[in-house]
Amino acid sequence: METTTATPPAGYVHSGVGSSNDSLASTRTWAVGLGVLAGLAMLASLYMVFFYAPTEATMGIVQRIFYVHVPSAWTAFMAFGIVALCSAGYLWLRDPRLDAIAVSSAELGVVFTTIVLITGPLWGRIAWGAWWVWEPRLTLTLLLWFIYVGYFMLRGAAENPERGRRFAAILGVVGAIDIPLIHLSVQWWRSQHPKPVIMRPEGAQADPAIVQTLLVSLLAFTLLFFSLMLFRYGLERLQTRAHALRAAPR
Amino acid sequence: MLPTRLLRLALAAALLAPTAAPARALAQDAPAAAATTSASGDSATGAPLAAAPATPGNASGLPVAAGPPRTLRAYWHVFTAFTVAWLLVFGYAISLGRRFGRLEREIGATAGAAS
Repeated sequence: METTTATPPAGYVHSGVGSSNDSLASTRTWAVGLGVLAGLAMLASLYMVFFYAPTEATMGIVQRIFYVHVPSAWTAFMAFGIVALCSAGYLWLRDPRLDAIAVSSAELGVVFTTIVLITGPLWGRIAWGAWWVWEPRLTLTLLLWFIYVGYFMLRGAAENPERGRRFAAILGVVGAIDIPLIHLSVQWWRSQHPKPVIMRPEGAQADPAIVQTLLVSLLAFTLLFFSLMLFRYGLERLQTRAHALRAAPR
Repeated sequence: MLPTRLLRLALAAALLAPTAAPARALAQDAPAAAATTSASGDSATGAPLAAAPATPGNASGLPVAAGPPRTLRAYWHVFTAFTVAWLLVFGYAISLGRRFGRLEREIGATAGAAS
């Protein structure tokens, strides 16, 4: 590709992020490889969702939304967990690569949380008879979405980019506190949301075919997340390179 | 006499029509309401997700309606959920590709101007 062979002009400062064409090319190779694996896993998952998994006894066909809703939630939580870890690392080490990983992961976290917030009500309308209920888990998930939308607003609003990155990193760490709250909300408070059926101390309590289908969907979404995150990380590095080129003396 | 009778029939049909529509709507919602009722005590609150029993066949070989309630609306919701998820993911991937392209052009132009 054109980018990987572009030579920085004289005066280009190697700044950690976006300094190596080779590593950008290898990031892209990994992203494509993971994308192919994710595509195969997605095809397997779709086959299992519609042809292998049995129809659930109580909820019927609408329970199949579970296979897109739960993996999206898992992926979003993982994404925001990565944001928190990398943001903490950035605050400590000030390594721009950690900030690049955090911002890439946060963007994907918002995308997957949006999927969770759309697919949940589609299930709830049939199972509960209501699109939305202001109960703890749903409310906290909506709050999580707002926190990380705020993360991007904070980055964009700061006049000094370095300060914007720092404030966003603090929000990235603090915002992740919402994740365990979401997970435990169904146990701590009276909640209408279904309790976990797979991740419970006494083991999964579901039909084996349902568990297998969910695990394949989880794998597919995880691979998709890492593939897209590597692409987004490559974009962040390219953006840094473009900034450096613009700032370089002619 | 015939026009009067026709008029009465038309009037009766017009009066019955508005009541028929909500009745249909209620009939459609009934399975959903049943699901809500059962959901409050069973799987929707976290009880084991059990597979529905295989649809039994009758003497004619046709499947007998059994198991969970099946409404067309539920199928639409499943279809919409998967479609929306995939549209968001593909939309995001396309936006990434566009941003990549724009930056590559910009870097190419800047590097060309500098050299």
